[in-house]
Amino acid sequence: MIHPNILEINLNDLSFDIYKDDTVFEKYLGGIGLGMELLRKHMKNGIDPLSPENIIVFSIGPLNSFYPVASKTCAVFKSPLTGNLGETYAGGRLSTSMRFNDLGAIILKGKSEDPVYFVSHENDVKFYNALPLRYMYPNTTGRIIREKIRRPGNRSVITIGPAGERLVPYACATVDRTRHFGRMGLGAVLGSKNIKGLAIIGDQPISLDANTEYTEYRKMFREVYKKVTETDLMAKYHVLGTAAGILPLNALKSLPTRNFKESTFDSAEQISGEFFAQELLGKRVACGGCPIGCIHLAILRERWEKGSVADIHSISVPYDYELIYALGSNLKIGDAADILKLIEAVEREGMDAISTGVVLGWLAEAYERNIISPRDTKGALIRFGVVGDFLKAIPRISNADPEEELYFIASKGVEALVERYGGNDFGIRVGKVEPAGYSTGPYAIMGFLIGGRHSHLDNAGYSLDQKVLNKPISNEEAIKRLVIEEEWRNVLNSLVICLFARGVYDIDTTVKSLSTLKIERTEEELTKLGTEIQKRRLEFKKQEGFSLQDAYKKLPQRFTEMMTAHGHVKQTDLDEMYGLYQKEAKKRYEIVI
Amino acid sequence: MAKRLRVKNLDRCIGCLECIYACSRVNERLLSNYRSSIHVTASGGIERNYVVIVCRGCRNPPCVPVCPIQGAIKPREGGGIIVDREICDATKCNHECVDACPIPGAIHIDVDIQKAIVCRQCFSCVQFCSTGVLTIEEASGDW
Repeated sequence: MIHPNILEINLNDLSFDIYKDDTVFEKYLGGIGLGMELLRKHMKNGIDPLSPENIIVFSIGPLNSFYPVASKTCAVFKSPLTGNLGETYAGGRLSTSMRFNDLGAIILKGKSEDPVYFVSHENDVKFYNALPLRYMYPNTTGRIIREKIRRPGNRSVITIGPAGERLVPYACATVDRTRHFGRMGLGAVLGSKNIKGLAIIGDQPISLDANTEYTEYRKMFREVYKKVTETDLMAKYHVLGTAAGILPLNALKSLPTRNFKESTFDSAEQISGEFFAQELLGKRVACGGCPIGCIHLAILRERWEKGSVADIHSISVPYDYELIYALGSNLKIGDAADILKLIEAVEREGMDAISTGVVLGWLAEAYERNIISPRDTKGALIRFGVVGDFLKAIPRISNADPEEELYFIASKGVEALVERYGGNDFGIRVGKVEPAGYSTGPYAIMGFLIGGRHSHLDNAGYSLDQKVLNKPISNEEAIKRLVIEEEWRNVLNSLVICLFARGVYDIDTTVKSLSTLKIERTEEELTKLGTEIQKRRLEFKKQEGFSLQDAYKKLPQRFTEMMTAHGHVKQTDLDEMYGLYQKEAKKRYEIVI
Repeated sequence: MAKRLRVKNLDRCIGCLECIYACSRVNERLLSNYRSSIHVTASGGIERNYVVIVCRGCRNPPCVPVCPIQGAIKPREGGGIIVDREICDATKCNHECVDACPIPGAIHIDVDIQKAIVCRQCFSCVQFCSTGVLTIEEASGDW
């Protein structure tokens, strides 16, 4: 395979350079492996995440566009939410646009003096003044940039909203209207660099004779495509989408409800994937190069005023499991259309829906317990189950106005709220990150804790909880399985496949797929790479001040009080697994974290 | 009876682009979203429907008689056309075939190779259409 270029943009003087660096692609393949190496190479230790010294790396990997469901782009940076590793992934058309623009990585450095957006096409990068777009919604900005480009074909547009411009540390970056680099504050880092948006246009053809073993490649492509479309490995994603998880998790007592106090929701049926599909689904769309089409867009009809008959409009709102949990069950919102209203409100500000939902959950509980008062909320009510309260709170949080202290602190995340107001026992966050929606049991909690980005996707503890429900395993075995899973996912995240296809890309399929692209890696070499990437992720975190011990100590008591699929999680089990992991990390990565 | 490609269930398109990649993979030995005989675009944003643009496989194709280069385009039995890439040379004509086709985009000139790019009814795209938008049909009817 002929390795793609790296585009490096210096925002200080709006200059750019496009160059080759085959060695890094050969060593780290792409995605997270490449991202970690470029972060090491280009970022100084200990910098302020919102200063010009922070850098952002977008990277794709060898399988993107060449194989089905290799549709993700990886972004790494120093996170303003955690102060250490920022790592997030997005779909849409970004990876195909980078591929067809012959870009394997984009590095953003420095800070533009004025707000800008830029367009990358072939050997050129054009910068446009974005001052007139100040505080526009992400999708309005996206439409304007697309109209400015005025060319059909493969293009992808990343934008930020008002929250990103106001440096809310869990602001997201929106990709192609419906996908997001959701987590860990990429939107704020873009905002700190005065970047309102960026577009990549890709229309260069890539020779299959030069990049593949053509005949084997076509054969392997067909094999993978069949696994994706004709087996049940991915069936759940295209039927109901990720929202398919609501009812089964609810039945397992694993659907976080009322700020994780409860694990079943009496209105689960009304917010289920089945209900959304039946009543509100407008259409399904796909990321570039993925035949699944898991993106579910609902039609939300909104009346201009209460009681309007014909004064009505409809908007298209993407929904997923995590959004339904964070802005639905977690807030006791049992009406699917109300959840869509909340998703749209978060979407407009350009914030991470999971973090926002968990922050709102803390606010509602703190309000209920009189930890915060109407004086703090400036007279507003924040109550579980009342959609209007949350709809009013969202823009106030995004506004991040120091004059409104409670909302200002809320804009910094749950950790900041707990530090200022207390309520650690119900302050739901792990390593300063508001978690995804799985109160499945002990392994989900440990998985969040030890995961490189404290995500359920790091090592799928939520999945392990469910797999071993009827065949218990030892804590030692659990830690071993979480660690091995995370290391393998580092490989998948270097390719960069969508993790929904993790069942398709087993080790054998991955080795063979890479081989048809003239990239020869043995199973052993790939697993070794996964271990090395994990070591680098942990080293980066440690270097930037992360302490696993601190994160562990701060776990909210609620995690042992809430019901899970495994009953109440025992503190002694968590303690044992924490100790086992520390030993394992020392052995595998030579690190005390 | 000879078969031809039909865009049967356009409303089912999810915009995955696999048909485009299949066409360029098989016919051009390329990974390309541009050098392909089939195209998918969004008509008015992602929340509206996708549009598939491809040769309709006419049995009396208007692009054939207007071509000034003899032998460059031949009608295909059962509908549609076959472009002879050895003979077709877009630098030596005024792209009459593109003008004559009433479906914008069904034929396009590739600027890199200066050839007319149009479907040759190989049906590779159909094999990689997971939602059944594309089908193969008997060439019948009055077009």
